[in-house]
Amino acid sequence: MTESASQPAMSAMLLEDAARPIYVVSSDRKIAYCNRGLTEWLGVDAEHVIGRRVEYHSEPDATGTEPLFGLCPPPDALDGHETSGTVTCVQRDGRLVHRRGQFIPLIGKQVGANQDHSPTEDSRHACSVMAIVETANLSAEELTQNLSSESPDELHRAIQRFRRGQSGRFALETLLGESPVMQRVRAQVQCAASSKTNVLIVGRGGSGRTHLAKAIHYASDHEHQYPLLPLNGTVLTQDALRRTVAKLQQAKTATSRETLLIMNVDQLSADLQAQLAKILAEKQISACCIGTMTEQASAEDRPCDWQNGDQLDPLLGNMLSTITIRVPRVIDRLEDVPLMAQFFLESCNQGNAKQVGGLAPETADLLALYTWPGEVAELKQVIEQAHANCPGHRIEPKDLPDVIHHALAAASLTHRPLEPVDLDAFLQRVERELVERAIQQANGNKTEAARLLGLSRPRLYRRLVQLGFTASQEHQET
Amino acid sequence: MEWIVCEAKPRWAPALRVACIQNSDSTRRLREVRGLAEIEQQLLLRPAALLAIEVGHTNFTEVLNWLPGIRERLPNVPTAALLDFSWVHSESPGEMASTRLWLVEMALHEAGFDHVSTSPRRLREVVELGSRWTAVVAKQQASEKATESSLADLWASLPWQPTGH
Repeated sequence: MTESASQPAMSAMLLEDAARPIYVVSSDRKIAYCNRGLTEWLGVDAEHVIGRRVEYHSEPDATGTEPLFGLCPPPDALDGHETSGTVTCVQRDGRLVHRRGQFIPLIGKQVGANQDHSPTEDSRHACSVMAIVETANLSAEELTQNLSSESPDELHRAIQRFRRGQSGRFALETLLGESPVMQRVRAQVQCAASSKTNVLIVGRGGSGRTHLAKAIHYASDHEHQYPLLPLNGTVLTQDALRRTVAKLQQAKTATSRETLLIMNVDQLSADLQAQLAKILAEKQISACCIGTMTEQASAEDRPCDWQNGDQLDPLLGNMLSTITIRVPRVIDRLEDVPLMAQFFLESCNQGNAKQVGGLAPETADLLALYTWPGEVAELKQVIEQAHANCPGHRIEPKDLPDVIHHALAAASLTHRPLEPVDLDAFLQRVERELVERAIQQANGNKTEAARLLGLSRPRLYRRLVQLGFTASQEHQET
Repeated sequence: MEWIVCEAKPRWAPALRVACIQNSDSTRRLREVRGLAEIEQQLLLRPAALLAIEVGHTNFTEVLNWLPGIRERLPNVPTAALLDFSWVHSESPGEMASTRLWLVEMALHEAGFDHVSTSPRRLREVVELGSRWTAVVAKQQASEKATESSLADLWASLPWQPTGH
């Protein structure tokens, strides 16, 4: 055997006998090689390891039944960048064991044509990675320390954890209520989440439009956790919209599924609405777009009939309203109030020394009698205040804020019969007041008063007579 | 209306002051705090204040988890993230650093930031955000005032006002 021929064999022997677990993951994420150190650590034979495909999980947990699931190098290593990270394996007793690992991209021979060691466009997306794992397991403290130190792997992990928290916070189950209107809303949300299309959410302030929009996003994306990009239409500028579009275009791939959430889309300026409509019409971004807007109390099914003169551009309205979801008012689903109140109460209990079990039946009755002009947000606020006021384990009527008691007391008063208004008499009062003010302003000078009122002097005199100014009054004015 | 600027060392606040002056917004007041807990205290006193928070590696996770709770309480108040120098100028290879910056910016937006600034020299957008919010609040206040008494407004709109009436 020549010296050159024996070198690979020698290298293989050295790798095989190394104390550290070493393995190679090919560009298609299959384990191409592993040494004895790894098989001993995993507690399985090499034949059960070689050729197995691994998937990247930035934070593997024990729910993965596959013992090799924690061996996948971070995406950056597969992209051609040497990096370090945590390698995890499930031991036979089901325990997760973590170790520090170094991931070295093998750019060149295995990938094919490119022999250059600098990552290029071609090599970056197709390189094998050698992983060298340390021999000592990480303690819980070391693991936490690893998480807090900066590396792309840990950054992914922090973001993934945040998104997981958000998914829980805006899960479909948090859309509370068993009323028919809420059941319909939940069905619409599920439909929107699975259809990956633009959505327009219409409702009153405080009704939970943004919550609903986020529920759609997180329900549509359990696996990949694509970003949600919320923009506030109230303060959005042209520059900010342009930057946002650029950011979304940076992410544009065939499989990406970002969501652009535009809150208060009706409050965008006309220019911005037209610009946004153009962006959506020309499909400049692949993101789904969800818009939220305010529903006027008397609005019909037309997306152009909105309060405060704020209008929705018809083209933008058409682009967004592939699915339109109307968030019902609390007063239209009063049967859901006890359930929502209990949910908010339990949220208050979380992390609080004071634990309140529920509402007294009389309290629930009072809540059902209130009209909830501030919608769900007001209900939440009322329950938070009641929780703070409550000395016992149950919220009694006296614990509710005064606003509820006052509103209910006012509602219980007998309504006075509606009396007709005498329009002529009312307008005469206004005119009289105005003429009096003009005369006073002119220090009793009728000519000047007539000028201030835009009348001729004779006409002012006629009006004074018609308005019943007596001579004495005129004298008084003079 | 004032900015609450949260940062470890006074780096962004002086720059924001200068940016306010340069953008003819010299009336804006700045209140500097050094931690998220201090922001909460300040918000109890000034719920309409604007927030600018420096985000570095040490507080990234903390800010991500803290802001959604604040946004729930104050959904419309503008917030700006001021990215620590190290996010932008990293020793990582170019593409990796820009991908990482993109990830960070997207996550911060997702948590509820209206704007992410990457340099104290680029604060014009932050100032504009504040100006726009002030205009929105002024419009809301005017609208509320108008509905209080249309008759009083009618009298108030007279070009001449009564003396001692």
